[in-house]
Amino acid sequence: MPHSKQIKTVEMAMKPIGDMKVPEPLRASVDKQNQILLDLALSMVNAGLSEQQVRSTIETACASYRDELITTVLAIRAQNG
Amino acid sequence: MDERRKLNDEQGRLAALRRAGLLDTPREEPFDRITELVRSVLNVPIATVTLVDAERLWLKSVLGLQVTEVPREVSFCTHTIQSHEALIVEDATQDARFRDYPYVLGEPGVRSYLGIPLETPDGYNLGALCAIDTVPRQFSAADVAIMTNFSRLVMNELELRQIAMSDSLTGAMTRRGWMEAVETQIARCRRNGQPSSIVLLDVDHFKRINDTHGHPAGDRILRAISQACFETLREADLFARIGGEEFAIFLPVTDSVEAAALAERLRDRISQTSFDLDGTPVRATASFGITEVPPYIEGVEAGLRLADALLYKAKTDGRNLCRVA
Repeated sequence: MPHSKQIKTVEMAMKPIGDMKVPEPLRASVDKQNQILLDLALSMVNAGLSEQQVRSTIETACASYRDELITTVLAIRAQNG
Repeated sequence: MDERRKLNDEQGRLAALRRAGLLDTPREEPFDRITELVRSVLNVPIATVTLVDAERLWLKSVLGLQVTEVPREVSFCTHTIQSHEALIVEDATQDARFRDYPYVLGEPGVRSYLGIPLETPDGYNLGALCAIDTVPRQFSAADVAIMTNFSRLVMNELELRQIAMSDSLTGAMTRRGWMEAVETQIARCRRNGQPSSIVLLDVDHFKRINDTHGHPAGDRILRAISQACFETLREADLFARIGGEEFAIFLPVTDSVEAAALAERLRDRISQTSFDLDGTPVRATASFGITEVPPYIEGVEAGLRLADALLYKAKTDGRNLCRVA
């Protein structure tokens, strides 16, 4: 799985988040999540895991973050009235 | 404080753990998903997100074990949090530190362990992400890299929660985050037979400040008062903005006499401060209601109501006062 494939996998998983209107205080967190997922994908490839397993792991990790992000966005909106 | 000193700053670490607001909370899907991934990717029977409290481990997520708490003195994670590196145990029966632990000698028969510290951005290890096997095993550098990235996912989700629990204007906790954390802390103090107190603080005549100087000026005063509170409070205290110009402070292991003394110091500090609003010096004061959390009440709301009644008394008695029960 070449490096560009891992980037693609992470991009695909993060796409629903990229489409969200994320408040400024959360931008750094989203960027960090992107980087961690990319590092995770690379580390899994280096460990010899299959493309399918890398893909499904990244998607699961991303879905978990997305749920948390939505909760946080709603909390910030509630705070700001 | 340098990283080495932070590893030895147990009080600071425990305060960071309390602020995270995860102790004694039920299992949650985001953490369970990560332990499930650890189990499947590393092919281990047991995976945990473990928080290391003063005397025990609290397993926020655990797969493959039927426990939620473990005494700290017989835990691998106690060792993991002593460093910023991974702890690898290939065969616990051959390691003098661990071979007599109940989880090694008896069920589930732990043999190998890989733990990655869960480190906050300011360098405190709250706990560990753990992959545990019941057979001896060599964890590779690639395994450590994967686990390190999983631990970063856990911490990034935790940081997201911290943002949700922080008031964007002052950096204090939000009402919701504070209520959840205080509920746990009251229960904890009661379990240990320790007192705890709640202080409510309300800025006097805040509407007049806003009307006279404008809302940005009011915001600056709220930020300055919050800063005074942060500088006065201990690390274990929980400070929140719970309304427009109203703040709440929870003081664990503190009786009403000590809480009143702290509130009086804060009141005095605020009243002595001259707030510079674009060259115009402005004075602000605050009123305080203080109550020790009585043993008969249930829930934070009841404690807040007691403090609120005393705050009302401070207001009606003339403001810039503390009233305590």
